[in-house]
Amino acid sequence: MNAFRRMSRTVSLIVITAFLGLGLQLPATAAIVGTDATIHANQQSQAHDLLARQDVRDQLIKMGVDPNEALDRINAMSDREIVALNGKLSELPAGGDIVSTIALIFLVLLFTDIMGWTDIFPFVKGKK
Amino acid sequence: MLAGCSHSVSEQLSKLPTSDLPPSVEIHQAPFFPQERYQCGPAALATTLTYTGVDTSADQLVPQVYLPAREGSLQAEMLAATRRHDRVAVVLKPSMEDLLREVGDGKPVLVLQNLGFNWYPKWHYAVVVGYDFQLQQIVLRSGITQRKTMPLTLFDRTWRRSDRWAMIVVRPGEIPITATEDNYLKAVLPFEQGKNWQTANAAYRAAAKRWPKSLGATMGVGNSYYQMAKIADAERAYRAALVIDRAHAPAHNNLAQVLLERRQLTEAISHAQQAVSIGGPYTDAYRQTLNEIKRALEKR
Repeated sequence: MNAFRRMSRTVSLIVITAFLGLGLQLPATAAIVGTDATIHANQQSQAHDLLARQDVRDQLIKMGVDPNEALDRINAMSDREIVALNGKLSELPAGGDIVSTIALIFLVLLFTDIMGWTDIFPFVKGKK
Repeated sequence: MLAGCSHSVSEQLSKLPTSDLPPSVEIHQAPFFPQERYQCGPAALATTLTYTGVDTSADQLVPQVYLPAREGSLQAEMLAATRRHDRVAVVLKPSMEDLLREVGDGKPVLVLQNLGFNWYPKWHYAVVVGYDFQLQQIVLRSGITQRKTMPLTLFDRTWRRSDRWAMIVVRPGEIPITATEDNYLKAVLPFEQGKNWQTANAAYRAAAKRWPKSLGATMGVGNSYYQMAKIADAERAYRAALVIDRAHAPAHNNLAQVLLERRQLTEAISHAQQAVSIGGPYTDAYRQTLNEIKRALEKR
Protein backbone atom coordinates (compact mmCIF):
# COMPACT_ATOMS: atom_id res chain seq x y z
CA MET A 1 0.00 0.00 0.00
CA ASN A 2 2.82 2.34 0.93
CA ALA A 3 4.67 1.49 -2.26
CA PHE A 4 1.52 2.23 -4.22
CA ARG A 5 1.15 5.55 -2.50
CA ARG A 6 4.77 6.44 -3.25
CA MET A 7 4.26 5.51 -6.84
CA SER A 8 1.09 7.54 -7.22
CA ARG A 9 2.88 10.50 -5.69
CA THR A 10 5.67 10.15 -8.27
CA VAL A 11 3.11 9.90 -11.06
CA SER A 12 1.36 13.02 -9.76
CA LEU A 13 4.65 14.89 -9.72
CA ILE A 14 5.41 13.86 -13.28
CA VAL A 15 1.92 14.90 -14.40
CA ILE A 16 2.14 18.23 -12.63
CA THR A 17 5.60 18.97 -14.05
CA ALA A 18 4.33 18.10 -17.53
CA PHE A 19 1.40 20.47 -17.12
CA LEU A 20 3.66 23.25 -15.93
CA GLY A 21 5.62 22.76 -19.15
CA LEU A 22 2.38 23.15 -21.13
CA GLY A 23 1.61 26.43 -19.44
CA LEU A 24 -1.49 25.22 -17.64
CA GLN A 25 -2.27 27.04 -14.45
CA LEU A 26 -1.92 25.03 -11.28
CA PRO A 27 -4.07 25.67 -8.24
CA ALA A 28 -2.47 27.82 -5.54
CA THR A 29 -0.53 25.53 -3.20
CA ALA A 30 -0.15 27.69 -0.11
CA ALA A 31 -0.89 26.26 3.30
CA ILE A 32 -4.17 28.11 3.36
CA VAL A 33 -7.24 26.50 1.85
CA GLY A 34 -9.03 28.49 -0.86
CA THR A 35 -12.51 30.00 -0.73
CA ASP A 36 -13.82 27.02 -2.71
CA ALA A 37 -13.65 25.10 0.58
CA THR A 38 -16.17 27.54 2.09
CA ILE A 39 -18.47 28.00 -0.87
CA HIS A 40 -18.71 24.40 -2.07
CA ALA A 41 -19.26 21.49 0.27
CA ASN A 42 -17.42 18.92 -1.81
CA GLN A 43 -13.76 18.90 -2.77
CA GLN A 44 -12.40 18.13 -6.20
CA SER A 45 -9.12 16.33 -6.73
CA GLN A 46 -6.41 18.47 -8.27
CA ALA A 47 -4.90 15.73 -10.44
CA HIS A 48 -8.38 15.01 -11.84
CA ASP A 49 -8.88 18.69 -12.65
CA LEU A 50 -5.56 18.91 -14.46
CA LEU A 51 -6.38 15.96 -16.66
CA ALA A 52 -9.83 17.38 -17.42
CA ARG A 53 -8.21 20.70 -18.34
CA GLN A 54 -5.92 19.02 -20.84
CA ASP A 55 -8.90 17.10 -22.26
CA VAL A 56 -10.97 20.24 -22.77
CA ARG A 57 -8.01 21.96 -24.41
CA ASP A 58 -7.61 19.08 -26.85
CA GLN A 59 -11.34 19.16 -27.60
CA LEU A 60 -11.21 22.92 -28.31
CA ILE A 61 -8.27 22.44 -30.67
CA LYS A 62 -10.03 19.58 -32.42
CA MET A 63 -13.04 21.88 -32.89
CA GLY A 64 -10.98 24.49 -34.68
CA VAL A 65 -9.56 26.74 -31.94
CA ASP A 66 -5.94 27.85 -32.29
CA PRO A 67 -3.78 25.88 -29.77
CA ASN A 68 -2.39 28.95 -27.98
CA GLU A 69 -5.82 30.54 -27.79
CA ALA A 70 -7.25 27.26 -26.47
CA LEU A 71 -4.77 27.43 -23.59
CA ASP A 72 -5.84 30.97 -22.68
CA ARG A 73 -9.46 29.90 -22.91
CA ILE A 74 -9.18 26.97 -20.51
CA ASN A 75 -7.03 29.01 -18.13
CA ALA A 76 -9.91 31.48 -17.80
CA MET A 77 -12.21 28.68 -16.60
CA SER A 78 -12.62 27.41 -13.07
CA ASP A 79 -12.06 23.77 -12.16
CA ARG A 80 -15.77 23.21 -11.87
CA GLU A 81 -16.50 24.82 -15.23
CA ILE A 82 -13.86 22.60 -16.84
CA VAL A 83 -15.36 19.45 -15.36
CA ALA A 84 -18.85 20.52 -16.47
CA LEU A 85 -17.62 21.19 -20.01
CA ASN A 86 -15.42 18.12 -20.45
CA GLY A 87 -16.77 15.86 -23.21
CA LYS A 88 -19.88 18.00 -23.79
CA LEU A 89 -18.59 20.58 -26.27
CA SER A 90 -20.58 19.02 -29.09
CA GLU A 91 -23.90 18.90 -27.30
CA LEU A 92 -24.14 22.04 -25.13
CA PRO A 93 -26.02 24.98 -26.67
CA ALA A 94 -23.77 27.13 -28.88
CA GLY A 95 -25.32 30.48 -29.71
CA GLY A 96 -24.51 31.31 -33.31
CA ASP A 97 -26.15 32.37 -36.50
CA ILE A 98 -29.69 33.63 -36.25
CA VAL A 99 -30.99 31.33 -38.93
CA SER A 100 -29.02 29.45 -41.46
CA THR A 101 -30.91 30.60 -44.53
CA ILE A 102 -30.54 27.45 -46.57
CA ALA A 103 -31.87 25.28 -43.77
CA LEU A 104 -34.83 27.62 -43.32
CA ILE A 105 -35.73 27.60 -47.01
CA PHE A 106 -35.45 23.83 -46.99
CA LEU A 107 -37.83 23.58 -44.04
CA VAL A 108 -40.34 25.95 -45.59
CA LEU A 109 -40.32 24.09 -48.89
CA LEU A 110 -40.54 20.78 -47.07
CA PHE A 111 -43.59 22.05 -45.21
CA THR A 112 -45.26 23.36 -48.36
CA ASP A 113 -44.45 20.08 -50.10
CA ILE A 114 -46.05 18.08 -47.31
CA MET A 115 -49.09 20.31 -47.43
CA GLY A 116 -49.35 19.65 -51.13
CA TRP A 117 -48.84 23.29 -52.11
CA THR A 118 -45.52 22.58 -53.84
CA ASP A 119 -43.83 19.56 -55.35
CA ILE A 120 -40.10 20.17 -55.10
CA PHE A 121 -38.77 17.08 -53.38
CA PRO A 122 -39.51 13.78 -55.08
CA PHE A 123 -39.37 11.91 -51.75
CA VAL A 124 -42.30 13.85 -50.32
CA LYS A 125 -45.76 12.60 -51.12
CA GLY A 126 -47.90 15.60 -50.31
CA LYS A 127 -51.63 15.75 -49.67
CA LYS A 128 -53.54 15.32 -52.85
CA MET B 1 -33.08 18.34 -20.51
CA LEU B 2 -33.39 22.00 -21.43
CA ALA B 3 -36.62 23.78 -20.56
CA GLY B 4 -37.56 20.79 -18.48
CA CYS B 5 -38.46 22.78 -15.41
CA SER B 6 -39.26 26.24 -16.71
CA HIS B 7 -42.42 27.98 -15.72
CA SER B 8 -44.82 28.58 -18.54
CA VAL B 9 -44.61 31.84 -20.44
CA SER B 10 -47.93 33.16 -19.29
CA GLU B 11 -47.17 32.26 -15.68
CA GLN B 12 -43.92 34.26 -15.73
CA LEU B 13 -45.52 37.25 -17.43
CA SER B 14 -48.67 37.38 -15.32
CA LYS B 15 -46.63 37.28 -12.12
CA LEU B 16 -44.71 40.43 -13.05
CA PRO B 17 -45.12 43.16 -10.43
CA THR B 18 -45.56 45.74 -13.14
CA SER B 19 -46.48 48.48 -10.69
CA ASP B 20 -43.14 48.00 -8.95
CA LEU B 21 -41.04 48.34 -12.13
CA PRO B 22 -40.53 51.40 -14.35
CA PRO B 23 -43.22 51.25 -17.10
CA SER B 24 -40.64 51.53 -19.84
CA VAL B 25 -36.86 51.63 -20.02
CA GLU B 26 -34.34 51.82 -22.80
CA ILE B 27 -30.57 51.90 -22.43
CA HIS B 28 -29.82 53.92 -25.55
CA GLN B 29 -26.09 54.12 -24.82
CA ALA B 30 -25.64 50.35 -25.02
CA PRO B 31 -23.26 49.96 -27.98
CA PHE B 32 -24.08 47.82 -30.99
CA PHE B 33 -21.80 45.48 -32.89
CA PRO B 34 -23.51 44.07 -35.96
CA GLN B 35 -22.64 40.40 -36.05
CA GLU B 36 -20.92 38.73 -38.89
CA ARG B 37 -21.85 35.18 -39.81
CA TYR B 38 -22.34 32.90 -36.77
CA GLN B 39 -20.86 35.48 -34.43
CA CYS B 40 -23.67 36.70 -32.26
CA GLY B 41 -21.72 35.47 -29.20
CA PRO B 42 -18.76 37.83 -29.69
CA ALA B 43 -21.14 40.62 -30.78
CA ALA B 44 -23.40 40.33 -27.72
CA LEU B 45 -20.41 40.04 -25.41
CA ALA B 46 -18.82 43.11 -26.99
CA THR B 47 -21.98 45.10 -26.22
CA THR B 48 -21.98 44.19 -22.54
CA LEU B 49 -18.20 44.49 -22.06
CA THR B 50 -17.75 47.85 -23.76
CA TYR B 51 -20.77 49.16 -21.86
CA THR B 52 -18.77 48.64 -18.64
CA GLY B 53 -15.75 50.44 -20.06
CA VAL B 54 -13.74 47.59 -21.59
CA ASP B 55 -11.95 48.56 -24.78
CA THR B 56 -12.80 45.70 -27.14
CA SER B 57 -14.89 44.74 -30.18
CA ALA B 58 -16.77 41.76 -31.57
CA ASP B 59 -13.83 40.95 -33.89
CA GLN B 60 -11.38 40.93 -30.99
CA LEU B 61 -13.62 38.58 -29.02
CA VAL B 62 -14.02 36.00 -31.79
CA PRO B 63 -10.82 34.06 -30.91
CA GLN B 64 -11.87 34.10 -27.23
CA VAL B 65 -15.35 32.58 -27.51
CA TYR B 66 -16.09 31.34 -31.01
CA LEU B 67 -16.03 27.57 -31.53
CA PRO B 68 -15.62 26.95 -35.27
CA ALA B 69 -16.92 23.37 -35.35
CA ARG B 70 -20.13 24.48 -33.62
CA GLU B 71 -20.46 27.74 -35.57
CA GLY B 72 -21.29 29.37 -32.27
CA SER B 73 -20.18 30.08 -28.70
CA LEU B 74 -20.74 28.09 -25.50
CA GLN B 75 -22.18 29.67 -22.36
CA ALA B 76 -19.17 28.66 -20.22
CA GLU B 77 -16.86 30.46 -22.60
CA MET B 78 -18.98 33.62 -22.54
CA LEU B 79 -18.49 33.67 -18.76
CA ALA B 80 -14.78 32.86 -18.95
CA ALA B 81 -14.05 35.46 -21.62
CA THR B 82 -15.74 38.13 -19.49
CA ARG B 83 -13.27 37.38 -16.70
CA ARG B 84 -10.34 37.74 -19.08
CA HIS B 85 -11.35 41.39 -19.28
CA ASP B 86 -11.44 41.83 -15.51
CA ARG B 87 -15.21 41.89 -15.37
CA VAL B 88 -17.48 39.72 -13.25
CA ALA B 89 -20.04 37.66 -15.18
CA VAL B 90 -23.04 36.99 -12.95
CA VAL B 91 -25.63 34.46 -14.10
CA LEU B 92 -29.10 35.68 -13.17
CA LYS B 93 -31.89 33.63 -11.70
CA PRO B 94 -34.10 32.32 -14.54
CA SER B 95 -36.78 34.94 -13.99
CA MET B 96 -38.37 37.52 -16.26
CA GLU B 97 -38.85 39.79 -13.28
CA ASP B 98 -35.14 39.79 -12.42
CA LEU B 99 -34.20 40.37 -16.03
CA LEU B 100 -36.45 43.42 -16.28
CA ARG B 101 -35.27 44.69 -12.89
CA GLU B 102 -31.67 44.67 -14.09
CA VAL B 103 -32.57 46.43 -17.33
CA GLY B 104 -34.51 48.95 -15.23
CA ASP B 105 -31.35 49.45 -13.20
CA GLY B 106 -29.47 50.34 -16.37
CA LYS B 107 -27.74 47.01 -16.97
CA PRO B 108 -27.91 45.42 -20.41
CA VAL B 109 -28.62 41.70 -19.97
CA LEU B 110 -27.07 39.11 -22.25
CA VAL B 111 -29.52 36.29 -22.96
CA LEU B 112 -29.44 32.94 -24.73
CA GLN B 113 -32.48 32.32 -26.90
CA ASN B 114 -33.55 29.37 -28.96
CA LEU B 115 -35.16 30.87 -32.03
CA GLY B 116 -35.96 27.47 -33.47
CA PHE B 117 -37.65 24.52 -31.84
CA ASN B 118 -36.54 22.16 -29.14
CA TRP B 119 -36.07 19.51 -31.83
CA TYR B 120 -34.40 21.96 -34.22
CA PRO B 121 -32.55 24.43 -31.99
CA LYS B 122 -31.24 27.74 -33.26
CA TRP B 123 -29.25 29.05 -30.34
CA HIS B 124 -28.74 32.77 -30.39
CA TYR B 125 -27.25 35.38 -28.06
CA ALA B 126 -28.78 38.82 -27.84
CA VAL B 127 -28.70 41.70 -25.37
CA VAL B 128 -31.85 43.04 -23.74
CA VAL B 129 -31.52 46.83 -23.55
CA GLY B 130 -35.11 47.88 -22.87
CA TYR B 131 -38.77 47.06 -22.48
CA ASP B 132 -42.15 48.73 -22.61
CA PHE B 133 -45.08 47.34 -20.64
CA GLN B 134 -47.66 49.37 -22.51
CA LEU B 135 -46.47 48.10 -25.88
CA GLN B 136 -45.85 44.67 -24.26
CA GLN B 137 -42.47 44.47 -25.95
CA ILE B 138 -38.80 44.00 -25.27
CA VAL B 139 -35.91 45.81 -27.00
CA LEU B 140 -32.79 43.92 -28.04
CA ARG B 141 -29.45 44.37 -29.73
CA SER B 142 -29.68 41.27 -31.86
CA GLY B 143 -27.71 39.98 -34.82
CA ILE B 144 -27.67 42.61 -37.54
CA THR B 145 -30.52 44.60 -35.97
CA GLN B 146 -29.50 47.45 -33.72
CA ARG B 147 -32.94 47.93 -32.20
CA LYS B 148 -35.00 44.80 -32.45
CA THR B 149 -38.38 44.90 -30.76
CA MET B 150 -40.15 41.70 -29.89
CA PRO B 151 -43.45 41.01 -28.09
CA LEU B 152 -42.74 40.01 -24.49
CA THR B 153 -44.56 36.71 -24.93
CA LEU B 154 -42.58 35.73 -28.02
CA PHE B 155 -39.33 36.75 -26.34
CA ASP B 156 -40.12 34.64 -23.31
CA ARG B 157 -41.01 31.68 -25.49
CA THR B 158 -37.59 31.81 -27.18
CA TRP B 159 -35.76 32.53 -23.91
CA ARG B 160 -37.53 29.82 -21.95
CA ARG B 161 -36.02 27.14 -24.18
CA SER B 162 -32.57 27.98 -22.78
CA ASP B 163 -33.94 27.60 -19.24
CA ARG B 164 -34.00 31.41 -19.23
CA TRP B 165 -30.22 31.76 -19.20
CA ALA B 166 -29.09 35.34 -18.68
CA MET B 167 -25.83 36.93 -17.63
CA ILE B 168 -24.84 40.39 -16.62
CA VAL B 169 -21.40 42.02 -16.75
CA VAL B 170 -20.26 44.22 -13.88
CA ARG B 171 -17.06 45.83 -12.74
CA PRO B 172 -15.36 44.12 -9.78
CA GLY B 173 -16.80 45.77 -6.70
CA GLU B 174 -20.20 46.28 -8.28
CA ILE B 175 -23.03 43.86 -7.50
CA PRO B 176 -26.15 43.48 -9.66
CA ILE B 177 -29.30 44.37 -7.72
CA THR B 178 -30.89 40.94 -8.20
CA ALA B 179 -27.72 38.98 -7.37
CA THR B 180 -27.87 36.48 -4.53
CA GLU B 181 -24.95 35.79 -2.23
CA ASP B 182 -24.56 32.35 -3.75
CA ASN B 183 -24.61 33.23 -7.45
CA TYR B 184 -22.37 36.27 -6.92
CA LEU B 185 -19.71 34.35 -4.97
CA LYS B 186 -19.74 31.59 -7.58
CA ALA B 187 -19.11 34.28 -10.20
CA VAL B 188 -16.11 35.59 -8.23
CA LEU B 189 -14.50 32.29 -7.23
CA PRO B 190 -12.94 31.63 -10.67
CA PHE B 191 -10.85 34.83 -10.34
CA GLU B 192 -9.25 33.25 -7.28
CA GLN B 193 -8.49 30.05 -9.15
CA GLY B 194 -7.07 32.16 -11.98
CA LYS B 195 -4.86 33.93 -9.43
CA ASN B 196 -6.30 37.34 -10.29
CA TRP B 197 -6.12 38.41 -6.64
CA GLN B 198 -6.75 42.13 -7.13
CA THR B 199 -10.04 41.56 -8.91
CA ALA B 200 -11.05 38.77 -6.55
CA ASN B 201 -10.31 40.97 -3.55
CA ALA B 202 -12.34 43.93 -4.83
CA ALA B 203 -15.29 41.65 -5.60
CA TYR B 204 -15.15 39.75 -2.29
CA ARG B 205 -14.95 42.99 -0.32
CA ALA B 206 -18.03 44.31 -2.10
CA ALA B 207 -19.82 41.04 -1.32
CA ALA B 208 -18.83 41.20 2.36
CA LYS B 209 -20.25 44.71 2.51
CA ARG B 210 -23.52 43.71 0.84
CA TRP B 211 -23.91 40.47 2.85
CA PRO B 212 -22.08 41.13 6.15
CA LYS B 213 -22.90 37.66 7.50
CA SER B 214 -21.52 35.89 4.44
CA LEU B 215 -18.89 33.37 5.42
CA GLY B 216 -17.85 32.85 1.78
CA ALA B 217 -17.32 36.56 1.13
CA THR B 218 -15.39 37.05 4.38
CA MET B 219 -13.14 34.05 3.75
CA GLY B 220 -12.63 35.31 0.18
CA VAL B 221 -11.50 38.69 1.50
CA GLY B 222 -9.00 36.96 3.80
CA ASN B 223 -7.72 34.55 1.17
CA SER B 224 -7.21 37.22 -1.47
CA TYR B 225 -5.46 39.52 1.02
CA TYR B 226 -3.23 36.61 2.04
CA GLN B 227 -2.19 36.02 -1.57
CA MET B 228 -1.55 39.75 -1.97
CA ALA B 229 0.86 39.44 1.02
CA LYS B 230 -1.37 41.68 3.16
CA ILE B 231 -1.10 39.41 6.16
CA ALA B 232 -2.59 41.76 8.76
CA ASP B 233 -5.69 42.36 6.61
CA ALA B 234 -6.00 38.62 6.03
CA GLU B 235 -5.83 37.95 9.76
CA ARG B 236 -8.59 40.47 10.42
CA ALA B 237 -10.83 38.78 7.85
CA TYR B 238 -10.24 35.27 9.24
CA ARG B 239 -11.11 36.49 12.73
CA ALA B 240 -14.28 38.05 11.32
CA ALA B 241 -15.13 34.71 9.69
CA LEU B 242 -14.78 32.99 13.08
CA VAL B 243 -17.21 35.51 14.54
CA ILE B 244 -19.73 34.47 11.88
CA ASP B 245 -19.07 30.76 12.44
CA ARG B 246 -16.67 29.74 15.17
CA ALA B 247 -16.65 26.14 13.98
CA HIS B 248 -15.50 26.94 10.43
CA ALA B 249 -12.43 24.75 9.93
CA PRO B 250 -10.97 26.61 6.92
CA ALA B 251 -11.01 29.86 8.93
CA HIS B 252 -9.17 28.20 11.85
CA ASN B 253 -6.62 26.68 9.50
CA ASN B 254 -5.96 29.84 7.51
CA LEU B 255 -5.76 31.95 10.66
CA ALA B 256 -3.27 29.43 12.09
CA GLN B 257 -1.13 29.79 8.97
CA VAL B 258 -1.18 33.59 9.21
CA LEU B 259 -0.28 33.45 12.90
CA LEU B 260 2.55 31.03 12.11
CA GLU B 261 3.95 33.53 9.65
CA ARG B 262 3.62 36.26 12.26
CA ARG B 263 5.45 34.00 14.77
CA GLN B 264 2.49 33.93 17.18
CA LEU B 265 2.94 30.21 17.62
CA THR B 266 0.92 29.58 20.78
CA GLU B 267 -2.25 30.99 19.33
CA ALA B 268 -1.43 29.46 15.94
CA ILE B 269 -1.27 25.92 17.29
CA SER B 270 -4.57 26.28 19.09
CA HIS B 271 -6.36 27.27 15.85
CA ALA B 272 -4.61 24.52 13.87
CA GLN B 273 -5.73 21.95 16.45
CA GLN B 274 -9.30 23.21 16.25
CA ALA B 275 -9.23 22.93 12.45
CA VAL B 276 -8.01 19.33 12.67
CA SER B 277 -10.56 18.36 15.29
CA ILE B 278 -13.45 19.93 13.32
CA GLY B 279 -12.14 18.12 10.23
CA GLY B 280 -13.91 17.86 6.87
CA PRO B 281 -12.69 17.23 3.33
CA TYR B 282 -9.57 19.38 3.79
CA THR B 283 -8.28 17.71 6.95
CA ASP B 284 -5.01 16.73 5.26
CA ALA B 285 -4.21 20.40 4.70
CA TYR B 286 -5.10 21.23 8.32
CA ARG B 287 -2.76 18.46 9.58
CA GLN B 288 0.01 19.87 7.44
CA THR B 289 -0.47 23.32 8.97
CA LEU B 290 -0.44 21.82 12.44
CA ASN B 291 2.79 19.92 11.73
CA GLU B 292 4.50 23.02 10.41
CA ILE B 293 3.60 24.94 13.55
CA LYS B 294 4.87 22.07 15.71
CA ARG B 295 8.14 22.11 13.80
CA ALA B 296 8.45 25.88 14.29
CA LEU B 297 7.80 25.44 18.01
CA GLU B 298 10.53 22.76 18.29
CA LYS B 299 13.04 25.01 16.59
CA ARG B 300 12.34 27.82 18.99
